[in-house]
Amino acid sequence: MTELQSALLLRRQLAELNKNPVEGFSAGLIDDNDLYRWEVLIIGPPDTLYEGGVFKAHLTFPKDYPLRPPKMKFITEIWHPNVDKNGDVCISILHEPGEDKYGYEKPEERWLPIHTVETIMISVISMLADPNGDSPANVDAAKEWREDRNGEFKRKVARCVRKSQETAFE
Amino acid sequence: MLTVLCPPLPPANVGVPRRMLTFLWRTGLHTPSLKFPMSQWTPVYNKLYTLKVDMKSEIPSDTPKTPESLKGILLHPEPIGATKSFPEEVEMINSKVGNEFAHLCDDSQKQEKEMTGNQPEQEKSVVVRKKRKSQQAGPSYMQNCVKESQALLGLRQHLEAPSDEDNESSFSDCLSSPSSSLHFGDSDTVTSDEDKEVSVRHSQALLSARSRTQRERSPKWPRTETDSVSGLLLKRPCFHSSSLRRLPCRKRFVKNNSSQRTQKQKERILMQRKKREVLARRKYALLPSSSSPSESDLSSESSSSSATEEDSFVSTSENHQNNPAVPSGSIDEDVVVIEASSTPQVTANEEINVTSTDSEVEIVTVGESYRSRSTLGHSRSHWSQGSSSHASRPQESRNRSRISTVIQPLRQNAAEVVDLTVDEDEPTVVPTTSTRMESQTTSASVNNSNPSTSEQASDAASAVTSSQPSAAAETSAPLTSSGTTGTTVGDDSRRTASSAVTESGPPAMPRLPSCCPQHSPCGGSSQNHHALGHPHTSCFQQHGHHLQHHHHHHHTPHPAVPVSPSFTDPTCLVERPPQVQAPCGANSSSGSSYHDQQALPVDLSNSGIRSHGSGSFHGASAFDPCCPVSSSRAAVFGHQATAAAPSQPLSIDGYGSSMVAQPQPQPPPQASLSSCRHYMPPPYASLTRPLHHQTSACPHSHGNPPPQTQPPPQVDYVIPHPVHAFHSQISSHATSHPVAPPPPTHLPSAATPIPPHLPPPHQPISHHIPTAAPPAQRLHPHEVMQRMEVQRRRMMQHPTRAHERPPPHPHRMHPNYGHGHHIHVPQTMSSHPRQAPERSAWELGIEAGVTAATYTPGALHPHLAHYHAPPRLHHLQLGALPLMVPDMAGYPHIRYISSGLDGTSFRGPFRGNFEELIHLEERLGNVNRGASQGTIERCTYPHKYKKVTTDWFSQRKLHCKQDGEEGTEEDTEEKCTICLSILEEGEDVRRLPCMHLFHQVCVDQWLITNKKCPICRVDIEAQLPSES
Repeated sequence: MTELQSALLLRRQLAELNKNPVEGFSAGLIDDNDLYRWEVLIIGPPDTLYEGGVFKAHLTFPKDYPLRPPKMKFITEIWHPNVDKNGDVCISILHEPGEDKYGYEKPEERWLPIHTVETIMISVISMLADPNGDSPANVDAAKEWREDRNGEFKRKVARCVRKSQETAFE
Repeated sequence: MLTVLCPPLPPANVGVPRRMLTFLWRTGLHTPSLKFPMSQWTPVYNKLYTLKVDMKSEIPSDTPKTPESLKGILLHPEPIGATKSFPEEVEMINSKVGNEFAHLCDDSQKQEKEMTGNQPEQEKSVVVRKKRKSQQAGPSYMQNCVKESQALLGLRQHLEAPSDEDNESSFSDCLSSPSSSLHFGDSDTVTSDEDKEVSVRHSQALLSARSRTQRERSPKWPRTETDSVSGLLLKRPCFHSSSLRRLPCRKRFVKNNSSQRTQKQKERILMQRKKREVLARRKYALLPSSSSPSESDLSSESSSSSATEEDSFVSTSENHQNNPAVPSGSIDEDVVVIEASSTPQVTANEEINVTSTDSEVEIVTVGESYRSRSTLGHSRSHWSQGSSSHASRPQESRNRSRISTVIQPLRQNAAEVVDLTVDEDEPTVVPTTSTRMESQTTSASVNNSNPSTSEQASDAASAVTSSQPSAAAETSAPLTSSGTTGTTVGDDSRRTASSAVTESGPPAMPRLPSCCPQHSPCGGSSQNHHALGHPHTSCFQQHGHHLQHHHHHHHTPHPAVPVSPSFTDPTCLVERPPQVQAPCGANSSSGSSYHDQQALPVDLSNSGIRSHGSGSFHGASAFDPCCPVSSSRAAVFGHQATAAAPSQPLSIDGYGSSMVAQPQPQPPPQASLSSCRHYMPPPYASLTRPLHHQTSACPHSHGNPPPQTQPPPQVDYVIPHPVHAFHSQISSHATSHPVAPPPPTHLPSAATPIPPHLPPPHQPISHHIPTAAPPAQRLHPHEVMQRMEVQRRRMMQHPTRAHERPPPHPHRMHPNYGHGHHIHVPQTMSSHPRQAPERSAWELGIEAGVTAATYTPGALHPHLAHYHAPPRLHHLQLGALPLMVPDMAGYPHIRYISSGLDGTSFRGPFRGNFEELIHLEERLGNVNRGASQGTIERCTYPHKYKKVTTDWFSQRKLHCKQDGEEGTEEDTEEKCTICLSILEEGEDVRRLPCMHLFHQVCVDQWLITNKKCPICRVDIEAQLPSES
């Protein structure tokens, strides 16, 4: 039942997204036969360093998805304090409810079963626009973001954006 | 600032400093110095200051110094500059007598302190330094100074030598005094003392409690210094308080001389405090809260708040005042000496302090004041626990009055303070009050009579230490021995107190009447009873604990000593079990709240069974609140003593020569040890020890070879006890009472008045044994069941206390159930009475325990034994032990106490606690992760979804319809935000307190893992109240 529910929910979301695309990203299944693996293209939010970038990411949903958060991983290289160098996104809403293994996040900020791909994507876009330097997944990026936001950090982001543009449409 | 203060004295003046030193010395050591006229002081002060300056200047000042400007200046005063500035300022200072000057002086003092302490302290961890400074120089100060400069050391040592702690005070005094006449003594301490004195006088009880706490504190800090830095930090507060106390004492004397200063001093004190706080905050970031007046609570103590200190001072000072006999000088100066030296020196002074922090809690401390100090650490911890427990207890619906009796061992080593915390439902109150009264009176009397009593006490103490060797040394066993010694000492003191009391008469009265109506018959006047009872108890205890000691001290008052020497050892063994009671006895003597003991006596009297074994148990069942009275105690003692002693004798008699033979050889050491351990259960003594002791004791008491078998019993603490206890007691009682020498001993000791008590118990006991046993059997099952329920209830009610009680439970539970229920039933007494008996029984059982199986407990009580044993076992198995264990480990003494004091109360709580703990875990689990299905059902509103159920929804829908927009209907459709599907008519939905609606299936899964609304994150339980 759970699996069915999650699949049903994912399918419903996919249908909804296809029906009513949300600005800022596009979502689809990596494999049409696997509702639990999604691929999303995130458009760099305007007026940010990531503007113009098209970042590909994969969402992997658990079988009990509504109850547990999916994992999001940027396929496209991205330089961001909250995205580790492997591309894994580290935002609170994608963290399992309950314990805070990092001690930074409040339980209120954690995963809720009402989160959907849309809400997750919105959160990620928000993250791109406003990195959270308090709980960095990429310490180097966070440091640069804090200390030299318009210097090295900006350069690296720009490079990522360029790269994303090159690879996104390949 | 500092420079100004420093008087410009030519180096040639070096000789002067010595004077100062001498002065300081006097001041520090002897109050008389305080009396010195200001005029004298001023010159001295100047000189001193100069000396300090000179010394420091002389010192190679090279020593690394903190960059802090002030400190640096102080540390490395430039002679030239100083000299320049001095003249003017000096004059100013001299001319000024105002507060401002005082401030300066204060600052200077502080700075000096800092200076002295800085270098050495720097080496040490910063934290330590901070605390020390904040608290003012401590004992370590001396050391630091020495390190700083040997030259200074010479001078300083002279100054400091008088009193380590007093160093500061003395210096400050000297310094301050010159500046302003107002600040004669330590402004802080003095003012606080005065203020506090007033308050203290209002409620001596509080004072005593505080003083006690203070004492507890004081003893430790000296040790702490040796301890690691962290230890210092933690303990520092204590030190501070202790130093303050001492000073206050002096100051009080001074104050007495001149009451005028009070207001000024107060003002000044306030100023100083403020400054201190400011400095402390700056430098040490002290918490302002620390300054806030802290209650007697231990927690507050941790902080070096002046208020607490003051309080403590007051109390101590009052105590001292109370004890005119005690040389004031010794108190004040003793600071150094006393602290440095083990309390034993002070032991001479016997103080019975009854402290009642909470109305519920009474702490009776019997023992020498000094001793108490030394032991303070232990007692303190106990106390704190007790206090915490007390705090928690209030919650209890019951009218429980806790009586925590702390018996502080004379020696620091003994440190084990036997805290008897008894939660009694009702009886406690009376006893407590009475105890207080008694304690006060006793203390006063004791103090008054100190010369004689104190000497005796000291002698006794010494005797105990020295004489006990056989028992004590072995006992030393320490923990128990310490505890025992402490108890014995306490007993001694109590005895003395009791004697004093008897003289005063009144103190004992309150309890006796209320507590021991039954007893009254036994004893002549209640007072007499007390005295008598005490002596008896004390004798017994002493015997049990330290025969020697008892003989020395108590015996004087009480012929109890007479107990046949040969028996003494055996008796000791026997008595030791009583010792457990002994504490009670001590308490009882002091009027302390040993319910158990009281209960025992009461039981005895009540039951009339008085047969020691059965009687004691029965008495326990009776558990009258009143029991505490001395008379009851006497009875109790009789029981215990009889039980214990008798048990041995009985064992001898009943069990034959084997028993006798054993006791003789082993008697002194083992017996004492074993007995001591059991009863004394020095808090620290590990369970194992008690077991061992008991086991060892058991053999003795039983005189059976079985002792060897005892080991197993050790494993099951409770089990062996229960069985044995009953058997041994019963049998012993039955046999012993009639024949048993021990009782006789008691009787003689009791003297004529006493005899009535003792004899009755003994005789009755014999009678009772047969009679009582049957009733016990009858009642047994019922009572046990009831008890169990009661306990559980209690436990449930008092989850927080669980830890405290757990330890007791095991003991009590077992014994109580077995004994108490059986015996108690007839009387329908509260569970309390049983506890005491249970203990005794239990302990006895422990001793006898191993052998018990072999025994057939006296012919009379076989059945009892059977009954008892099983219940205890059950109790143990029940899990009380498991719970107990953890707590116990942390607080052995508590456990012991609890076990000793209230079997019943603890039991109940114990179980209840255990259960509650489980519940708590469950709840916590739920809280942390999610809600149980039950919680979900309880907090939410599951129903079949109906499209237009809600008013606002319907209204909205209507509104939409009115608008004529069909599309609105979709908007009105409710979705389950989890599955994103529209809620369909008739679906099982659940509305959370936050009014959010979900599919039951969807939301339940979530709520199980997280009990917050998926949408708004509101806890489903959080809003229950609003909804309800």
